Amino acid sequence: MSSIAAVSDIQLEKKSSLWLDAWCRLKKNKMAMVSSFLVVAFFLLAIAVPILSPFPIDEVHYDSIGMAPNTLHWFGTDILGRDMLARTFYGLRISLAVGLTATLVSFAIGVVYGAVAGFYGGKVDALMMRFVDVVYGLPYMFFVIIVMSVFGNNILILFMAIGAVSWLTMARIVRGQVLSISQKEFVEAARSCGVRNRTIIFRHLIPNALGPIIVYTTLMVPRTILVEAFLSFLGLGIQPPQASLGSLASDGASAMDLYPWLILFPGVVLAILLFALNYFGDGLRDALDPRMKK
Amino acid sequence: MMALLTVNNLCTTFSTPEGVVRAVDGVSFSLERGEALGVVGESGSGKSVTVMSLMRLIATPPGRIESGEAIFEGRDLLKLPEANLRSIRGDEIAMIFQDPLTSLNPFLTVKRQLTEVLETHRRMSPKKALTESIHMLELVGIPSPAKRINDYPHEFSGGMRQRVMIAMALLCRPKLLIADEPTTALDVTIQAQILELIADLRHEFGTTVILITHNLGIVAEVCDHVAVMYAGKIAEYGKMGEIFVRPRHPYTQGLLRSLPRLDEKRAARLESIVGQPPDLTLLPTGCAFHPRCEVKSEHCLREFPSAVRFGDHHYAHCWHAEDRS
Repeated sequence: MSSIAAVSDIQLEKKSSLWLDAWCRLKKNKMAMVSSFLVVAFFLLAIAVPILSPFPIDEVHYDSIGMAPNTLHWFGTDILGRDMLARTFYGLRISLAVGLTATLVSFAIGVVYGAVAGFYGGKVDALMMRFVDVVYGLPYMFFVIIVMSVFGNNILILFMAIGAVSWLTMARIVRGQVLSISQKEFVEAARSCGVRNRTIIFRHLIPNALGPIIVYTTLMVPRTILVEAFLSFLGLGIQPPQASLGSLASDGASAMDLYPWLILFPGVVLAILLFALNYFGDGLRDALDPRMKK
Repeated sequence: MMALLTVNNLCTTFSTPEGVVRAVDGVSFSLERGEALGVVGESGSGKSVTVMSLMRLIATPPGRIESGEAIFEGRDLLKLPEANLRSIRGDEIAMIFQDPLTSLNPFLTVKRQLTEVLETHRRMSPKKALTESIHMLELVGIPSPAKRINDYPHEFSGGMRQRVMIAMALLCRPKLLIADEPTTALDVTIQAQILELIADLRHEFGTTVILITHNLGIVAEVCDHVAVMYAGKIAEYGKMGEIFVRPRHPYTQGLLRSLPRLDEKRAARLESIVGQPPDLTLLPTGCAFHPRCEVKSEHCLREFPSAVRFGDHHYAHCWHAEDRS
């Protein structure tokens, strides 16, 4: 008997929650593990760059303009003699922050908003989704420019502007998912068991919609990074001497034939980041589906 | 003794693009404690809508409970505030659904889904809820329940999943168990096992049961009363034995004739009731069954038949019930 009890205890520990199970499955997926390692490494580097880098982001050196990568400046220097390694990882910081903001906002607002609209349906749904449509219809640039001219050109405003639109598509996707999941019998079964609406939404509906949510998130992070680069290019986002991966790449593109490393390194870092995020998201989606077995 | 559940003149409608459909039209019945009522009828006869209306699980819109009352232990289920109703659902009235494949959440372990019920209604500690759930799984015949409870629904077979659903429904020892075609999605051997299980547990816990099915054989196995529904109305109601031996409504008679019999020659073709179930948006006048009825008269086209009683617990809505016996 005691051995049976021991076995069931191990089972209890092993399979205690959706997230723990997902972690067990994720560990088996090599590509996803490498990717998550890369993402974490990028995060740490982006946070630690002021400590690690001997060069500040904005120190101009007229004696080392446009140097190719060497032992002192691993990524070379730009046309003002600033160290590209420092600038790239400072840029990564901004890009990650922008991506993170969009993710958090779309999770906190978009998922809940869409789930509530889809779950209650009818008039609630119509009203909530028409609001989304209205905000969607607003020209984005127009909106950002208005916000910037009212509140001033500020990095926080940039985050707000990206946050304000990033949850809209998420709300639509989740609403559609929830609409179809609500028709499934287990939702009816949960109701017939007297489970509260709130619990049904958070425990039964949203976890079942996680697949599309995660896929969309992994698509959204690179997109917001590009949106940020675009805004910065227009002079509405990051202001020099601050830099983001996007603005570095666009600066580098203009001097590509003379100083190819100016676009190469920010570009490569951006590409690796996006690859890693995509593979990580893909692995996460598989891991979160208990029906997936290897 | 007071009845456990008394339903009076229940009407539920659905608004569709083709117009308002009366899915349940003036259904009345009463259930004594410990009784098992079988509700029989073709698809679209309003069986499921009747019980979903009792639980107030009808999606509104498009559905709407127009009128009627359902007195469950002195409380009218149809007028109770949502919060009170929620504490009755799953606790005093529980439900088993047709398709065990989709009625469990694929993302949660069976344990989580079982303990959820106990935590909602009994405020049990997780440990106690787990012990109770394992015990219940054992009762419904899941082998090594302490281990299986940590599995996900897809790791169970269809029959096993229906057992899990039954365990979930019985966790709070409900006074009334509603089983909405519990065996339709299962193969025949598993069907028999599940029915046996429902019959056993019913006697063990003294649970009152409403069993919805379109299979009269299943009714015979589990129930002691039968309500035959046609086009949203109860056509005939009575004790199981009486309905089977002396059916009074031509529809019931037709249903019984369409069952295969062991004492017949094998070559004989099964009889069927001619025609189709009616389109609820275009119901025939008078008795809705008259286009398919062999004994219809002028009267049937004009007026819906009032109940003709045969003893205390047997009645049929047919103008010709008397002369057909």
